[in-house]
Amino acid sequence: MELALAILNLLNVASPGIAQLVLLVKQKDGTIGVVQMLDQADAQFDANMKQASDWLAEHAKKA
Amino acid sequence: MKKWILMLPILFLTACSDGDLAKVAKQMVVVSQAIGQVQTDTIAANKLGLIDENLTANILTVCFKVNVAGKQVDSVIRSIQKLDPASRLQLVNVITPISQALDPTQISFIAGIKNADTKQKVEAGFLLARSTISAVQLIIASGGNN
Repeated sequence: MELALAILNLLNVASPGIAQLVLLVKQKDGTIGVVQMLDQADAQFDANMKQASDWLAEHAKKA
Repeated sequence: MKKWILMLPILFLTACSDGDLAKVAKQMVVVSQAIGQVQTDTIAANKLGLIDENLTANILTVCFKVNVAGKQVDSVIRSIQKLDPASRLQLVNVITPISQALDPTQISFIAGIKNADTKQKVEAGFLLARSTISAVQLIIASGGNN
């Protein structure tokens, strides 16, 4: 086990591309949800901005 | 030997140090939801005449700043693989405007909300967003060692 981890750590250190590949595999695999969480946060931020803009536009008309 | 071959992909999946990015991403979901709740509560209170137009506009302006900066944080997280010194600096630069926007001195106008329930909801939402951003700053400052 220690040997396998050491090999993986060496690979990660030796090639930044490996870390990127691992991240891509994990994203595809669904093992991590970083991308999904960012998508969720972005969607909420977008909805928030639309809600605020709509209100401000509506009330600017009234003013 | 077979066991090792089977375990290698799993080890690959756990070796990458991106757990901190996941923590930050999770906190950004919390921030986005907290701000969304503040906006919804504020607009609802305004419709009911519980909060005036100027205060509503001021609150929504603070929220807007957080939303814009929040999207920038998300964008930076998408562009990096792990929390190294360079990416930490990138994140600090985009997170700072959020903590500034939510600074108590910047949102002191909420003291002017006369309706106690609305005031409590807005304060609680901003407090949640601010403390969540503080947690993000701690994760970044610690270099992912917390």
